[in-house]
Amino acid sequence: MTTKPPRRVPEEKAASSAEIAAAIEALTPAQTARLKRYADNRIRKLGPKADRKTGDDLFPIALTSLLDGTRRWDKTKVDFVGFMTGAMKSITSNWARGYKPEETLVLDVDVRRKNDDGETPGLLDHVKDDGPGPQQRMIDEEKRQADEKILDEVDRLFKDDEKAQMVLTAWEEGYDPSGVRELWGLSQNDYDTIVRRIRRTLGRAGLTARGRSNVQ
Amino acid sequence: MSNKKTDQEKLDSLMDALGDSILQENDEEILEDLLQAGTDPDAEAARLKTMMLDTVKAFQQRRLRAAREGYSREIEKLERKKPLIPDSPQERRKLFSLFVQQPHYAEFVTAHYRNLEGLTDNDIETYLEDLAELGILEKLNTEEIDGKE
Repeated sequence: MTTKPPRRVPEEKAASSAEIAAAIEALTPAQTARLKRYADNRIRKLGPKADRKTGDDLFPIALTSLLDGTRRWDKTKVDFVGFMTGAMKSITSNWARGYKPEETLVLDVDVRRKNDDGETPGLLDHVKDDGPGPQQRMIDEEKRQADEKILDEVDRLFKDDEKAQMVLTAWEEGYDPSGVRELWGLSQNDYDTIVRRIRRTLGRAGLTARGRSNVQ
Repeated sequence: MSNKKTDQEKLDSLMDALGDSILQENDEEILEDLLQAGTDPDAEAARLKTMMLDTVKAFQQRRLRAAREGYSREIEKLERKKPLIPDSPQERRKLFSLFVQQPHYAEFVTAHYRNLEGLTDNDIETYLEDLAELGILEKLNTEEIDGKE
């Protein structure tokens, strides 16, 4: 964990398009599935702010930002899956702040570096917000209602699973995995089992694999 | 627990934790989940890889096209300027001699270039190409046609 601001990867260390293509070719089915799940998760987190984009749409957007030099990948520091998930997180975080997609490609981090809050800060993180306009307020309200419905649905899905409720409540309060384990006295194995159950239950309910639309 | 969070903050935290858990998930679990959902992991991997490689290919082709267009523009520019430089060394030397005699171009000519005898044909040709690139030869030709000294 570091509080240092993200540094741009020097051009001479940045992967070439041929190296990027080779990294894609080398991805295993589990790695591509992980990327897809992560992309879906980020889009789902955006809710209506995703503006009908899907997890699939995030792949070319993240890749283009790498190919055109907006982001740079130092393959000696992070693997391709790590780079792509970092880029997807950064891009969707910028969208969530209400920036236009084309603006999100201008300034950003290259490698995932977490600060003390466990967030990956982008260079736009410190830009002052002038407040939402009428359209933004409408989107925010739409998202607020959708969020409320999803949380109700999550409560309903786990109403008979006390341990899952404990983990979910801690997550909602922003605890990281070690914090959750410490808070509830869970072993790593117990925690992993509960998380797997949560992921699968949410997945079956369409809350991890197909977006938030199922409960909207 | 900490101070009260909004629904959006709670859900955002939950989604972040889920996202992080996806990164920690082991490969067997991910593949098993895909199979349970009725998705063929190999076919899904092939689909995603094709999509990503198509993006790379499209970008490379765009760059190649831009480079080709840039190259064509440069060649066109050079071709336009070429007729200004005579074909024979004698005529090139004559043109260069005319150029160095123009007082208003004196700033472009160093002492070395004023000594025509000491210049090779190649020196003169290179210098004329530079002058053509700067648009000076074109001006010089116009001045010659207009009879301006």
